[in-house]
Amino acid sequence: MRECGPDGQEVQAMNQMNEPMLNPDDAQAVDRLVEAGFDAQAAVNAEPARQRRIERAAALLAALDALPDERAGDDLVDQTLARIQSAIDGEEQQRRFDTQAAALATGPIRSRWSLGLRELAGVAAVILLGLSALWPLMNGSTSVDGPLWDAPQGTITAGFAGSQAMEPVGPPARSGQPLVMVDKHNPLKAIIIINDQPREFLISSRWQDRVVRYPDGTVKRFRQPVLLFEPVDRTANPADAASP
Amino acid sequence: MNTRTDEELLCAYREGESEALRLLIERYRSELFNFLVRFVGNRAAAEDVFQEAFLQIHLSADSFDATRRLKPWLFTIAANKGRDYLRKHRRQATMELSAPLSSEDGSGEFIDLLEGDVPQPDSGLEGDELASQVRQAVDSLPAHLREILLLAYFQRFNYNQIAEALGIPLGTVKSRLHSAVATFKRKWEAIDETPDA
Repeated sequence: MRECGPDGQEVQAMNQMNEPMLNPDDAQAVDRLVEAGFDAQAAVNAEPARQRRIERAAALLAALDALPDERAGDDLVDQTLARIQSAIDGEEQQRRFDTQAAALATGPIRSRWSLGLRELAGVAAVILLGLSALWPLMNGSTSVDGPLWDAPQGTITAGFAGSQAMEPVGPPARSGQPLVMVDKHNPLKAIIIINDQPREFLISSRWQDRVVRYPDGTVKRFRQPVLLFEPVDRTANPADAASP
Repeated sequence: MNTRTDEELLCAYREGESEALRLLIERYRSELFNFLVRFVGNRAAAEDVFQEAFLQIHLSADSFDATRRLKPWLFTIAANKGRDYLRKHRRQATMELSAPLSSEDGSGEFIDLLEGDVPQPDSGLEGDELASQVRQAVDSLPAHLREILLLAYFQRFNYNQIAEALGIPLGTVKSRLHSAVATFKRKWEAIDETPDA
Protein backbone atom coordinates (compact mmCIF):
# COMPACT_ATOMS: atom_id res chain seq x y z
CA MET A 1 0.00 0.00 0.00
CA ARG A 2 1.50 3.26 -1.08
CA GLU A 3 0.41 6.82 -0.78
CA CYS A 4 1.69 10.04 -2.10
CA GLY A 5 2.77 12.54 0.50
CA PRO A 6 2.13 16.25 0.27
CA ASP A 7 5.62 16.96 -0.99
CA GLY A 8 5.15 14.53 -3.84
CA GLN A 9 7.34 11.95 -2.27
CA GLU A 10 5.96 8.48 -2.26
CA VAL A 11 5.21 7.42 1.25
CA GLN A 12 5.15 3.78 2.05
CA ALA A 13 2.22 3.24 4.35
CA MET A 14 3.37 -0.05 5.72
CA ASN A 15 6.96 -1.10 5.60
CA GLN A 16 8.25 -4.52 4.79
CA MET A 17 8.42 -5.47 8.45
CA ASN A 18 4.65 -5.03 8.66
CA GLU A 19 5.03 -2.29 11.23
CA PRO A 20 2.46 0.43 11.77
CA MET A 21 3.07 3.74 10.08
CA LEU A 22 1.99 7.28 10.70
CA ASN A 23 -0.64 8.70 8.48
CA PRO A 24 0.81 11.14 5.96
CA ASP A 25 -0.23 14.23 7.93
CA ASP A 26 1.46 12.99 11.09
CA ALA A 27 4.49 11.91 9.11
CA GLN A 28 4.79 15.45 7.82
CA ALA A 29 4.45 16.80 11.34
CA VAL A 30 7.27 14.54 12.53
CA ASP A 31 9.42 15.65 9.60
CA ARG A 32 8.92 19.29 10.57
CA LEU A 33 9.92 18.46 14.15
CA VAL A 34 13.08 16.70 13.03
CA GLU A 35 14.00 19.61 10.80
CA ALA A 36 13.43 22.01 13.70
CA GLY A 37 15.53 19.94 16.10
CA PHE A 38 12.36 18.93 17.99
CA ASP A 39 11.58 22.55 18.79
CA ALA A 40 7.79 22.41 18.51
CA GLN A 41 7.35 26.17 18.23
CA ALA A 42 9.88 26.43 15.43
CA ALA A 43 8.20 23.53 13.64
CA VAL A 44 4.77 25.17 13.98
CA ASN A 45 6.18 28.42 12.68
CA ALA A 46 7.49 26.55 9.68
CA GLU A 47 4.12 24.98 8.98
CA PRO A 48 1.27 26.57 10.97
CA ALA A 49 -1.35 24.49 9.20
CA ARG A 50 -0.11 21.39 11.02
CA GLN A 51 0.05 22.96 14.44
CA ARG A 52 -2.17 20.40 16.19
CA ARG A 53 -0.36 17.40 14.81
CA ILE A 54 3.05 18.91 15.41
CA GLU A 55 2.16 19.66 19.03
CA ARG A 56 0.69 16.19 19.45
CA ALA A 57 3.83 14.54 18.03
CA ALA A 58 6.00 16.76 20.23
CA ALA A 59 4.00 15.79 23.32
CA LEU A 60 4.33 12.10 22.51
CA LEU A 61 8.06 12.31 21.97
CA ALA A 62 8.57 14.50 25.03
CA ALA A 63 7.81 11.37 27.05
CA LEU A 64 11.29 10.23 26.08
CA ASP A 65 12.66 12.97 28.33
CA ALA A 66 11.51 10.85 31.26
CA LEU A 67 14.38 8.49 30.52
CA PRO A 68 17.05 9.50 33.00
CA ASP A 69 20.51 10.51 31.94
CA GLU A 70 22.86 7.70 32.83
CA ARG A 71 26.17 8.78 34.27
CA ALA A 72 29.03 6.79 32.88
CA GLY A 73 31.34 5.15 35.38
CA ASP A 74 34.39 7.19 36.38
CA ASP A 75 36.73 4.55 35.07
CA LEU A 76 35.03 4.08 31.71
CA VAL A 77 37.66 6.14 29.90
CA ASP A 78 40.53 4.29 31.55
CA GLN A 79 38.91 0.94 30.95
CA THR A 80 38.40 1.81 27.29
CA LEU A 81 42.01 2.90 26.90
CA ALA A 82 43.20 -0.24 28.67
CA ARG A 83 41.18 -2.36 26.29
CA ILE A 84 42.66 -0.57 23.33
CA GLN A 85 46.16 -0.95 24.76
CA SER A 86 45.50 -4.63 25.25
CA ALA A 87 44.46 -4.87 21.61
CA ILE A 88 47.62 -3.01 20.56
CA ASP A 89 49.73 -5.43 22.59
CA GLY A 90 47.87 -8.33 21.07
CA GLU A 91 48.39 -6.92 17.58
CA GLU A 92 52.09 -6.58 18.26
CA GLN A 93 52.31 -10.11 19.56
CA GLN A 94 50.33 -11.39 16.61
CA ARG A 95 52.54 -9.45 14.18
CA ARG A 96 55.64 -10.99 15.71
CA PHE A 97 54.07 -14.42 15.57
CA ASP A 98 52.99 -13.90 11.95
CA THR A 99 56.46 -12.75 10.99
CA GLN A 100 58.00 -15.80 12.55
CA ALA A 101 55.37 -18.07 11.06
CA ALA A 102 55.91 -16.55 7.64
CA ALA A 103 59.64 -16.96 7.98
CA LEU A 104 59.22 -20.56 8.98
CA ALA A 105 56.66 -21.18 6.25
CA THR A 106 58.88 -19.93 3.40
CA GLY A 107 62.30 -21.40 3.30
CA PRO A 108 63.67 -20.75 6.67
CA ILE A 109 61.57 -23.57 8.06
CA ARG A 110 63.18 -25.92 5.60
CA SER A 111 66.58 -24.49 6.08
CA ARG A 112 66.04 -24.60 9.80
CA TRP A 113 65.38 -28.29 9.65
CA SER A 114 68.12 -28.87 7.17
CA LEU A 115 70.35 -26.65 9.25
CA GLY A 116 69.67 -28.86 12.19
CA LEU A 117 70.58 -31.91 10.18
CA ARG A 118 73.64 -30.23 8.86
CA GLU A 119 74.71 -29.15 12.29
CA LEU A 120 74.17 -32.71 13.38
CA ALA A 121 76.30 -33.93 10.52
CA GLY A 122 78.90 -31.34 11.42
CA VAL A 123 78.95 -32.51 15.02
CA ALA A 124 79.28 -36.06 13.80
CA ALA A 125 82.15 -34.99 11.60
CA VAL A 126 84.00 -33.43 14.50
CA ILE A 127 83.31 -36.43 16.70
CA LEU A 128 84.71 -38.61 13.97
CA LEU A 129 87.66 -36.34 13.76
CA GLY A 130 88.24 -36.63 17.47
CA LEU A 131 87.70 -40.35 17.45
CA SER A 132 90.14 -40.84 14.65
CA ALA A 133 92.69 -38.86 16.60
CA LEU A 134 92.07 -40.54 19.94
CA TRP A 135 91.37 -44.04 18.79
CA PRO A 136 94.96 -45.21 18.91
CA LEU A 137 95.44 -43.73 22.37
CA MET A 138 92.28 -45.34 23.67
CA ASN A 139 93.58 -48.65 22.46
CA GLY A 140 96.88 -48.06 24.11
CA SER A 141 98.54 -48.47 20.82
CA THR A 142 100.91 -46.53 18.77
CA SER A 143 99.88 -45.72 15.35
CA VAL A 144 102.06 -46.96 12.69
CA ASP A 145 101.15 -43.90 10.76
CA GLY A 146 102.01 -40.34 11.51
CA PRO A 147 99.95 -37.95 13.62
CA LEU A 148 96.60 -36.84 12.43
CA TRP A 149 97.83 -33.41 11.66
CA ASP A 150 101.13 -31.93 11.10
CA ALA A 151 100.39 -29.81 14.09
CA PRO A 152 100.47 -31.52 17.50
CA GLN A 153 97.32 -33.33 18.59
CA GLY A 154 94.92 -31.42 20.74
CA THR A 155 95.57 -28.14 19.10
CA ILE A 156 92.71 -28.34 16.69
CA THR A 157 89.83 -26.10 17.56
CA ALA A 158 86.53 -26.83 15.89
CA GLY A 159 83.52 -24.70 16.25
CA PHE A 160 80.14 -23.83 14.89
CA ALA A 161 78.87 -20.49 14.00
CA GLY A 162 76.66 -18.45 16.21
CA SER A 163 75.51 -15.60 14.07
CA GLN A 164 78.07 -16.08 11.35
CA ALA A 165 78.14 -19.33 9.55
CA MET A 166 81.89 -19.72 9.63
CA GLU A 167 82.66 -18.10 12.95
CA PRO A 168 84.07 -20.45 15.53
CA VAL A 169 82.44 -20.36 18.95
CA GLY A 170 84.73 -22.72 20.70
CA PRO A 171 87.93 -21.76 22.44
CA PRO A 172 90.16 -19.87 20.11
CA ALA A 173 93.11 -21.63 18.63
CA ARG A 174 96.45 -20.55 19.77
CA SER A 175 98.45 -18.57 17.33
CA GLY A 176 100.07 -20.58 14.63
CA GLN A 177 97.86 -23.58 15.17
CA PRO A 178 95.36 -24.74 12.58
CA LEU A 179 91.80 -23.68 13.12
CA VAL A 180 89.04 -25.86 11.73
CA MET A 181 85.70 -24.27 11.14
CA VAL A 182 82.83 -26.33 9.89
CA ASP A 183 80.30 -24.48 7.79
CA LYS A 184 77.01 -24.99 9.57
CA HIS A 185 75.15 -24.53 6.30
CA ASN A 186 77.29 -27.09 4.66
CA PRO A 187 78.94 -29.36 7.17
CA LEU A 188 80.73 -31.13 4.42
CA LYS A 189 82.78 -28.01 3.93
CA ALA A 190 85.38 -26.71 6.30
CA ILE A 191 87.75 -23.84 6.34
CA ILE A 192 91.02 -24.63 7.91
CA ILE A 193 93.28 -21.77 8.75
CA ILE A 194 96.81 -22.85 8.43
CA ASN A 195 99.50 -20.28 9.02
CA ASP A 196 96.86 -17.54 8.90
CA GLN A 197 95.77 -18.64 5.44
CA PRO A 198 92.20 -19.89 5.16
CA ARG A 199 91.72 -22.87 2.91
CA GLU A 200 88.49 -24.53 1.98
CA PHE A 201 88.20 -28.25 2.24
CA LEU A 202 85.48 -30.75 1.57
CA ILE A 203 85.08 -33.18 4.41
CA SER A 204 84.35 -36.79 3.74
CA SER A 205 84.82 -39.88 5.73
CA ARG A 206 85.48 -43.51 5.11
CA TRP A 207 86.51 -46.56 7.03
CA GLN A 208 90.12 -47.41 6.79
CA ASP A 209 91.83 -50.61 7.68
CA ARG A 210 94.65 -49.90 10.04
CA VAL A 211 97.42 -52.08 11.16
CA VAL A 212 98.91 -51.68 14.61
CA ARG A 213 102.09 -53.36 15.62
CA TYR A 214 102.50 -53.83 19.39
CA PRO A 215 105.86 -53.90 21.20
CA ASP A 216 105.50 -57.60 21.84
CA GLY A 217 105.42 -58.09 18.15
CA THR A 218 101.74 -58.80 17.74
CA VAL A 219 100.00 -57.08 14.94
CA LYS A 220 96.38 -56.09 15.03
CA ARG A 221 94.28 -54.93 12.15
CA PHE A 222 91.14 -53.00 12.77
CA ARG A 223 88.85 -50.59 11.02
CA GLN A 224 88.95 -46.97 11.90
CA PRO A 225 86.83 -44.02 10.76
CA VAL A 226 88.87 -41.53 8.89
CA LEU A 227 88.01 -38.03 7.89
CA LEU A 228 89.34 -36.81 4.62
CA PHE A 229 89.83 -33.16 3.91
CA GLU A 230 90.08 -32.47 0.24
CA PRO A 231 91.03 -28.97 -0.81
CA VAL A 232 88.42 -27.18 -2.82
CA ASP A 233 90.70 -24.70 -4.45
CA ARG A 234 93.06 -27.49 -5.44
CA THR A 235 95.91 -25.24 -4.42
CA ALA A 236 96.15 -26.74 -1.01
CA ASN A 237 98.13 -29.86 -0.63
CA PRO A 238 95.74 -32.66 0.29
CA ALA A 239 98.45 -34.20 2.30
CA ASP A 240 98.48 -31.13 4.50
CA ALA A 241 94.95 -31.61 5.60
CA ALA A 242 93.83 -35.14 5.13
CA SER A 243 93.81 -37.28 8.15
CA PRO A 244 96.18 -40.07 8.02
CA MET B 1 39.70 22.41 27.44
CA ASN B 2 40.93 21.14 24.13
CA THR B 3 39.60 23.21 21.25
CA ARG B 4 40.56 20.84 18.50
CA THR B 5 37.72 19.32 16.51
CA ASP B 6 36.91 15.64 16.69
CA GLU B 7 38.41 15.13 13.28
CA GLU B 8 41.63 16.92 14.25
CA LEU B 9 41.91 14.77 17.35
CA LEU B 10 41.52 11.57 15.37
CA CYS B 11 44.10 12.72 12.84
CA ALA B 12 46.46 13.54 15.71
CA TYR B 13 45.90 10.08 17.14
CA ARG B 14 46.54 8.57 13.76
CA GLU B 15 49.85 10.38 13.68
CA GLY B 16 50.87 8.96 17.01
CA GLU B 17 49.47 11.31 19.63
CA SER B 18 47.90 8.74 21.91
CA GLU B 19 46.53 11.38 24.27
CA ALA B 20 44.24 12.58 21.49
CA LEU B 21 42.22 9.39 21.72
CA ARG B 22 41.73 9.89 25.44
CA LEU B 23 40.37 13.35 24.73
CA LEU B 24 37.97 11.95 22.17
CA ILE B 25 36.74 9.27 24.53
CA GLU B 26 36.22 11.79 27.30
CA ARG B 27 34.41 14.09 24.91
CA TYR B 28 31.88 11.43 23.99
CA ARG B 29 31.72 9.62 27.28
CA SER B 30 28.34 10.94 28.39
CA GLU B 31 26.63 11.35 25.05
CA LEU B 32 27.59 8.00 23.57
CA PHE B 33 27.15 6.15 26.82
CA ASN B 34 23.63 7.52 27.24
CA PHE B 35 22.73 6.58 23.71
CA LEU B 36 24.00 3.06 24.30
CA VAL B 37 22.23 2.58 27.61
CA ARG B 38 18.98 3.56 25.94
CA PHE B 39 19.71 1.43 22.92
CA VAL B 40 20.90 -1.82 24.52
CA GLY B 41 18.94 -1.44 27.73
CA ASN B 42 21.48 -1.81 30.51
CA ARG B 43 24.58 -0.11 31.84
CA ALA B 44 26.98 -3.05 31.82
CA ALA B 45 26.22 -3.83 28.21
CA ALA B 46 26.45 -0.16 27.32
CA GLU B 47 29.92 0.07 28.87
CA ASP B 48 31.04 -2.99 26.96
CA VAL B 49 29.67 -1.70 23.67
CA PHE B 50 31.18 1.72 24.36
CA GLN B 51 34.62 0.16 24.71
CA GLU B 52 34.07 -1.97 21.63
CA ALA B 53 33.12 1.12 19.65
CA PHE B 54 36.29 2.99 20.54
CA LEU B 55 38.37 -0.10 19.98
CA GLN B 56 36.93 -0.15 16.49
CA ILE B 57 37.76 3.53 16.11
CA HIS B 58 41.35 2.68 16.98
CA LEU B 59 41.42 -0.22 14.53
CA SER B 60 39.81 1.77 11.70
CA ALA B 61 41.43 5.13 12.37
CA ASP B 62 43.56 4.90 9.24
CA SER B 63 40.51 4.44 7.05
CA PHE B 64 38.69 7.50 8.39
CA ASP B 65 38.11 10.17 5.79
CA ALA B 66 39.18 13.33 7.59
CA THR B 67 37.02 15.48 5.31
CA ARG B 68 33.93 13.94 6.89
CA ARG B 69 32.54 14.35 10.37
CA LEU B 70 33.59 11.95 13.06
CA LYS B 71 30.42 11.95 15.13
CA PRO B 72 28.17 10.14 12.60
CA TRP B 73 30.96 7.64 12.04
CA LEU B 74 31.33 7.04 15.76
CA PHE B 75 27.61 6.53 16.15
CA THR B 76 27.55 4.26 13.12
CA ILE B 77 30.12 2.05 14.79
CA ALA B 78 28.41 2.23 18.16
CA ALA B 79 25.01 1.40 16.67
CA ASN B 80 26.49 -1.55 14.80
CA LYS B 81 28.15 -2.83 17.94
CA GLY B 82 24.93 -2.29 19.87
CA ARG B 83 22.97 -4.26 17.28
CA ASP B 84 25.54 -7.07 17.46
CA TYR B 85 25.11 -7.13 21.20
CA LEU B 86 21.33 -7.25 20.96
CA ARG B 87 21.49 -10.06 18.44
CA LYS B 88 23.69 -12.09 20.74
CA HIS B 89 21.85 -11.35 23.94
CA ARG B 90 18.31 -11.02 22.77
CA ARG B 91 16.04 -11.94 25.60
CA GLN B 92 12.94 -13.95 25.02
CA ALA B 93 10.74 -11.24 26.49
CA THR B 94 12.28 -8.67 24.21
CA MET B 95 11.83 -10.93 21.26
CA GLU B 96 8.17 -11.25 22.00
CA LEU B 97 7.69 -7.56 22.43
CA SER B 98 9.81 -6.77 19.40
CA ALA B 99 8.12 -9.23 17.12
CA PRO B 100 6.19 -7.67 14.28
CA LEU B 101 2.82 -6.61 15.47
CA SER B 102 -0.02 -8.76 14.32
CA SER B 103 -2.88 -7.24 12.40
CA GLU B 104 -4.88 -7.29 15.62
CA ASP B 105 -2.29 -4.91 17.05
CA GLY B 106 -2.77 -2.52 14.24
CA SER B 107 -0.01 -3.41 11.82
CA GLY B 108 -0.76 -2.26 8.35
CA GLU B 109 -2.79 0.57 9.75
CA PHE B 110 -2.03 4.24 9.83
CA ILE B 111 -1.61 5.58 13.30
CA ASP B 112 -3.25 8.90 13.90
CA LEU B 113 -1.53 10.91 16.59
CA LEU B 114 -4.70 12.82 17.30
CA GLU B 115 -6.42 9.63 18.40
CA GLY B 116 -5.88 7.98 21.75
CA ASP B 117 -3.61 9.07 24.56
CA VAL B 118 -0.11 10.34 24.64
CA PRO B 119 1.93 10.54 27.83
CA GLN B 120 1.31 13.78 29.61
CA PRO B 121 3.74 15.46 32.00
CA ASP B 122 0.92 15.95 34.47
CA SER B 123 -0.41 12.42 34.16
CA GLY B 124 0.12 11.88 37.86
CA LEU B 125 2.80 9.26 37.37
CA GLU B 126 5.79 9.59 39.65
CA GLY B 127 9.06 10.30 37.91
CA ASP B 128 10.42 6.80 38.37
CA GLU B 129 7.17 5.21 37.33
CA LEU B 130 6.92 7.31 34.21
CA ALA B 131 10.54 6.59 33.39
CA SER B 132 9.95 2.89 33.86
CA GLN B 133 6.98 2.91 31.50
CA VAL B 134 8.81 4.93 28.88
CA ARG B 135 11.77 2.60 29.28
CA GLN B 136 9.48 -0.35 28.72
CA ALA B 137 7.96 1.20 25.62
CA VAL B 138 11.37 2.08 24.18
CA ASP B 139 12.81 -1.33 24.97
CA SER B 140 9.94 -3.01 23.21
CA LEU B 141 10.68 -1.24 19.94
CA PRO B 142 12.54 -3.32 17.37
CA ALA B 143 16.21 -2.37 17.40
CA HIS B 144 16.18 -0.85 13.91
CA LEU B 145 13.39 1.52 14.96
CA ARG B 146 14.77 2.21 18.41
CA GLU B 147 18.18 3.32 17.13
CA ILE B 148 16.63 5.78 14.70
CA LEU B 149 14.30 7.22 17.30
CA LEU B 150 17.18 7.67 19.75
CA LEU B 151 19.52 9.18 17.18
CA ALA B 152 16.86 11.61 16.03
CA TYR B 153 15.49 12.63 19.40
CA PHE B 154 18.47 12.56 21.75
CA GLN B 155 21.36 13.11 19.38
CA ARG B 156 19.36 15.55 17.27
CA PHE B 157 20.62 13.93 14.09
CA ASN B 158 18.74 15.11 11.03
CA TYR B 159 17.61 12.67 8.39
CA ASN B 160 20.76 13.02 6.31
CA GLN B 161 22.99 12.42 9.30
CA ILE B 162 21.02 9.34 10.32
CA ALA B 163 21.21 8.03 6.76
CA GLU B 164 24.96 8.56 6.82
CA ALA B 165 25.38 7.03 10.24
CA LEU B 166 23.34 3.94 9.51
CA GLY B 167 24.26 3.61 5.87
CA ILE B 168 20.68 3.42 4.69
CA PRO B 169 18.76 5.53 2.14
CA LEU B 170 17.13 8.76 3.19
CA GLY B 171 13.67 7.43 2.36
CA THR B 172 14.24 4.42 4.57
CA VAL B 173 15.31 6.66 7.43
CA LYS B 174 12.12 8.66 7.13
CA SER B 175 9.84 5.67 6.91
CA ARG B 176 11.58 4.02 9.84
CA LEU B 177 11.29 7.10 12.02
CA HIS B 178 7.62 7.43 11.15
CA SER B 179 7.19 3.77 12.01
CA ALA B 180 9.16 4.20 15.22
CA VAL B 181 6.92 7.04 16.36
CA ALA B 182 3.79 5.10 15.42
CA THR B 183 5.01 1.96 17.17
CA PHE B 184 6.08 3.91 20.24
CA LYS B 185 2.62 5.41 20.50
CA ARG B 186 1.00 2.00 20.20
CA LYS B 187 3.35 0.45 22.74
CA TRP B 188 2.73 3.31 25.11
CA GLU B 189 -1.00 2.87 24.84
CA ALA B 190 -0.63 -0.88 25.42
CA ILE B 191 1.40 -0.30 28.59
CA ASP B 192 -0.91 2.42 29.78
CA GLU B 193 -3.89 0.10 29.42
CA THR B 194 -2.39 -2.76 31.42
CA PRO B 195 -3.93 -3.03 34.92
CA ASP B 196 -0.67 -2.80 36.84
CA ALA B 197 0.77 -0.01 34.74
